[in-house]
Amino acid sequence: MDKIKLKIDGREIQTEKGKTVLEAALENGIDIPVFCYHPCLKSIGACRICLVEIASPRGDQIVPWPKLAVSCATAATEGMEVQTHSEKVVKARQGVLEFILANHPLDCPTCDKGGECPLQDTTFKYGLDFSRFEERKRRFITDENSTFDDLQIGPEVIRNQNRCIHCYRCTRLVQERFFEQDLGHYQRGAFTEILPPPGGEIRNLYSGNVVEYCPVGALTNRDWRYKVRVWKTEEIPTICRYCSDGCNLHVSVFRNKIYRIQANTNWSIDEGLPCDIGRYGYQFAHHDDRLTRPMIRKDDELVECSWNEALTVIKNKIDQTVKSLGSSGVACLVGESLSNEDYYTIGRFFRSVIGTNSIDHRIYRKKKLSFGEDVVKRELCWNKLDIADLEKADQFFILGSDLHAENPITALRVLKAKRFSDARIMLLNPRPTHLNRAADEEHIYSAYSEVFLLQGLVRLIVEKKMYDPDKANIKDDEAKAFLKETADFDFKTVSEKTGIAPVDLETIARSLCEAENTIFISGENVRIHYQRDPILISLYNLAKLTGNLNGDASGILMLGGESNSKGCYLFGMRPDRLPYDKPFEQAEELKSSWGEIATDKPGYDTIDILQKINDEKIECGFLLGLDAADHYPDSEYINNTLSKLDFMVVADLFLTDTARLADVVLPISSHFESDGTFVNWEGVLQKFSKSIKNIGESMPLWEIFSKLSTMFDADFNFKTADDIFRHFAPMLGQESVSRMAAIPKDGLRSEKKIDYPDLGLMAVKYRKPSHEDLPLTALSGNGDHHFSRNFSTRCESLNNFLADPYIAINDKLAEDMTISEGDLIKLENSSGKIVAKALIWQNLPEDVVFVPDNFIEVKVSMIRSKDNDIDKVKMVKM
Amino acid sequence: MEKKVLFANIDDPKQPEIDTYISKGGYKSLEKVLKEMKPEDVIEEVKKSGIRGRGGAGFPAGMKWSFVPKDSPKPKYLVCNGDESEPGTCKDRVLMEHDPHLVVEGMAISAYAIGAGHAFIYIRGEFDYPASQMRKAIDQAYEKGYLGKNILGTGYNLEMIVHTGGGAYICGEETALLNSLEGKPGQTRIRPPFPAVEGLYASPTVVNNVETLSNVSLIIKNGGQWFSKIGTEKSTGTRIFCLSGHVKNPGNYELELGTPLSYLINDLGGGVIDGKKLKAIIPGGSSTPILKPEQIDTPLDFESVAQAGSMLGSGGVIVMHEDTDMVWVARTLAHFYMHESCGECTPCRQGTKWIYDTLTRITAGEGKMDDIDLLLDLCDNIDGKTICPLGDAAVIPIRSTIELFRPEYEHYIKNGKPLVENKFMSFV
Ligand SMILES: Cc1cc2nc3c(=O)[nH]c(=O)nc-3n(C[C@H](O)[C@H](O)[C@H](O)COP(=O)(O)O)c2cc1C
Ligand code: SF4
Ligand code: SF4
Ligand code: SF4
Ligand code: FES
Repeated sequence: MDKIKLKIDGREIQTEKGKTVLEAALENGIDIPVFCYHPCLKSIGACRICLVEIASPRGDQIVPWPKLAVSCATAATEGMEVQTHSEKVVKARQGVLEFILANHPLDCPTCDKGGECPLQDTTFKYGLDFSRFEERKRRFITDENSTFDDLQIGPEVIRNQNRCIHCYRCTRLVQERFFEQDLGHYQRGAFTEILPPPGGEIRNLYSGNVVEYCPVGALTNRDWRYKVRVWKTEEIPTICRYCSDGCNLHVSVFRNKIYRIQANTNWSIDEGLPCDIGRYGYQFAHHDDRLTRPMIRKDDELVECSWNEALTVIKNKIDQTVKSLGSSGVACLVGESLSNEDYYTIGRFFRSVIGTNSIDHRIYRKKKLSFGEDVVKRELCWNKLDIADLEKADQFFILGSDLHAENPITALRVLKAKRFSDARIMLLNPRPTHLNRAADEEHIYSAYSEVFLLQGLVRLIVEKKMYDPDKANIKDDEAKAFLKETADFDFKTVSEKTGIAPVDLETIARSLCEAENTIFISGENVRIHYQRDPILISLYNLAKLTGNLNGDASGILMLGGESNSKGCYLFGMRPDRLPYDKPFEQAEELKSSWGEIATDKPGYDTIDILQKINDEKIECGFLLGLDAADHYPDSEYINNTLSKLDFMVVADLFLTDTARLADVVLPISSHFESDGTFVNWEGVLQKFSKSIKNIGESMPLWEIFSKLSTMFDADFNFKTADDIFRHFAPMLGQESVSRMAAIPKDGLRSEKKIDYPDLGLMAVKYRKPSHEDLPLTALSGNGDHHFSRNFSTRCESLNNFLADPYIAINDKLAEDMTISEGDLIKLENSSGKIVAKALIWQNLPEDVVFVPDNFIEVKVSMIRSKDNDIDKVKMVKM
Repeated sequence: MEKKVLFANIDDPKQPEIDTYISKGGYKSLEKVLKEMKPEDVIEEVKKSGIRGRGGAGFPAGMKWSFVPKDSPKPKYLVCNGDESEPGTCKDRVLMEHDPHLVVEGMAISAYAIGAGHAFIYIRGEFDYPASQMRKAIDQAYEKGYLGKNILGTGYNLEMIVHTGGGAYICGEETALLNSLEGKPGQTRIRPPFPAVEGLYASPTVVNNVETLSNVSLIIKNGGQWFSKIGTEKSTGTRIFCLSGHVKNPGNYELELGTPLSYLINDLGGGVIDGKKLKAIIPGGSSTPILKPEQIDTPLDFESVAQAGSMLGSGGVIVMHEDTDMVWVARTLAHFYMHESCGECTPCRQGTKWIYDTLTRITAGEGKMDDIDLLLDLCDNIDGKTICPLGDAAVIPIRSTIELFRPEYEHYIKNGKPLVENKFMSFV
């Protein structure tokens, strides 16, 4: 970076070339007030509060500029001399402030922004204490009966136009960063109004951010307003519990109750722009459904009991099982959004106290995957990038991922790359996804034709020699062999199978070869795919062929998952790995603190655990923070299996479908009620802090298992989450971090830029999926503003965006079957049926239906069968 | 003196037909440029002519064109500004209505000079007829092969597109115009970057006024040298002045630059109506400072008008006689600027409204002496502190009327009524 020198208020300062005068000043602790400026937005110089006086060198003279300049949009240049407090500047600044205040209602006492309002603060600091404005203030009357002129402009945003100072941060944010059009400005001049388009609402996935971006109380949250004054709340840092992006958030707590969540900017992850799910998704914490006491089954009914009673029963049952079946009679399945401290304690309990390795978290898969060496070797190259690296890419190849709904913050970086450096976005999915609003190309391929599509592209590139030989590193005989092996994947067949036109296939292939840096992203659709491994190998082939295996702006990302999916891997929630992803051979170190661990053979994974339950080889099952009955993609099988358990312990926040089947139900605390850590998909370990007292008698899992350990004479003696953290901290490999408090503010990032070896091209096989002979393929994913199950649907604000389940069908299909939007329709196959209202979705392929799988009322697992690779259904109008 | 260069054929009712236009040597300049001249030569010729922009700011056209980066990989665009909304101005309209091919040819030559493959003409929303005339002319030019692919077999391609606005004065300001053209709300962009570097769709773009571009084919036809001989040394060529207000013969008159204002008002305009006394003259559209009757001999060229304390602006000359209530004038114009402020920057958005509110109070008989100083201070807090020149423009009539007619304000404030009984309909 080139450095330049300039003077601000007589002080000599240094900054990087390309920075603005404002940035140079702020970096050096020189205060210039701003309203419209925001580091995440392009400067437009609208509010004029940041005016400064500038002189710059011409020849050997310093020449004053004819006019004041806005520091937020003026580049700092060598030798510049800037005055931020000259007489002219002070007068102009006071003039601007006076103009802003002229028509501002100054209703601070009843304004929710009061106490954290940049307009208040700036006026306090720079303003005049009198006003020359004697005219009638401009008013936007929307409701004659209201003094406040509030207008609800979206499910969670309320607008009070009178207070608006027209900084356009809100509209710029929505349009520039979110690529949305649901907030704009209408009319002109002093009468400019901030509004959604006529008849519309602001309801994009990031809509809550406009409230934080508004420097006044013109935009407020429905959820938060008029409840508590900001100076009464305590702000406590936390991490979002939903997707695997790991946004940093702030909890506002007053008298042990959470009132709202705001961004807690982590520049390397969320840039202070969390999605609404993270923002409003706290409300489950205070939901009436929260379990407050342990429950135990008596006379076939769950009744509340004391912790002591519950734990004693558990202790006795474990002893009994171990006596009759050995420790392998006990197994444990966990959810993907518990803390690392939970996982560590759970792992220690089952492995060292009970002596079983049958621990797993992968409930989403129907069948075992090979995990062959080919995949494992290639697996190393996934997710080597950081979220911030996405900004540097020229192109994104997004396949089988509803990135917008699965990893909203990663999606925002993709959009940022597009906005600021014109990156290309190629979307390839079996159904339309909302990222298409910014995509350069969107291709909807026939469901489950991914292997054809990817291997077809690889073949096309090899066959037509489109690749750059320097990057591809492929020998002629290798290419020949590959072409021979993939003879079934000729251009025509691939086009037929995928439904993508030959010219489009060629364009995709060409763009892949032409771009400097491409990032390949896949998501949930691939994670749960029956041919996941061939897909990943083909992605690897594509990345290799186009020179994107290594580099700091290229690679393969396997996204999806939940807030601590990565933690599940790292902290041993798999039958074959120990904490910090150590193989059994490296158990010695752990044994010194854990005592004896059974490391002779791995435990059972999810698929085997369920099988062993059916074989009556496992009798005692623990389901921790996991609604397996709802989650496993075969409702009938999982329900039958779980009811075969002799003894079943469920720990959760709510009485889930799984909990209803349990013998003992333990109330666990949410992540707001304990300290702890999560690891996001990048591998960044981040800390959240306890912000409210435990609800009822609930306890975090680590505490439950620590207590339980004492009953087995193996007292873990974990009194706090930090006690646990201290135990595993040495494994993190960063000496300075031995306590939770030492985790850096923006998280603990591990070094992972290993160069990935080129393993050559590898042809994969397409396997025809097994399925029923029915017309429609049922796909599922997150519904708007929801994520996974049980939590987001217990948040009123999120339900304000989408409260009811639906079944989305293509418009033509609807017409053929005379179905109108809102009609009840039924999806049915030999596994079961689901009924919901129809939602008509143009562009959805005619042979596909989409069902959001967030709602407890409509379980997609009801129409899924573990015996079929893909679930086909027929549709009936009710 | 009156000199009909642009207006040479303005009275021929057949002039908008392409055959008529061609029969009088039309499109010869385009042919010459495409077949015989390199783009640099065209820019050179235009530079030689010394022509300055006719849209208001008077920036030398050739120089503006030479700012377009030659090595940019992005497409380049030419935009002809036909938004003509400055109060008192109606010259571009006449050109578009009566000699549309002159505009088309000028645009085509200019587009070639800057290497543009697309040329847009942005016409104000209310200009239905001019827009239809332009569309017709463009269609005819396509038909005859003066536009489109491989023009006259030279390999040069040019698409020309008419875009009509939604009725906002601010969309005449070049950056707001570009936003509007892109389908965005008509608000301005901060400069730098200037349009020549980053304009339409973030690509190099030249924006020129209709009259400016209409001159280009004449400059090519007769040479830059010829053009530079018309007018004064620094203000070359002719300009169309739009004479309105209290004169006997209002209308558009094309004058050689440097012609005295009095010639326009008295000789061509027939002097003030009803034998009244001249009171004030706005020389270049409502955004220019008022001249007093004793300045009537000011030569109409950029330098002389500037020396007289005003600006040549857009060529809209508004004449006012003794019965004009100058506070009312100020309030009428204040309303215009308040109504047209795009609302992007604080001083203009809020200041224009405050000024208007204050003037409304004064004209309603509720003014205070302090209001005059307040108005001047508000002007000071707007002037030079806004994103675009609309803010600066808005304060001009206020300052100018206070400076020249302060007693009228004082009378209003003291007596609650105007010094000069207002004889005109108030429309705001
Ligand atoms: C508020 C405002 C309104 C303007 N309106 C017009 C207009 O209607 N027509 C025009 O040609 N230029 C208008 N301009 C000037 C343009 O911004 C621009 O300078 C001009 O089109 C450049 O052309 P020229 O160099 O040929 O004069 C306006 C400027 C401002 C600040
Ligand atoms: S609503 Fe708020 S953020 Fe939006 S323009 Fe007004 S003051 Fe700015
Ligand atoms: S769901 Fe994901 S993107 Fe949304 S706030 Fe939580 S971590 Fe961030
Ligand atoms: S000066 Fe007025 S018209 Fe120009 S940008 Fe500012 S508000 Fe808009
Ligand atoms: S902060 Fe610079 S103009 Fe608003």
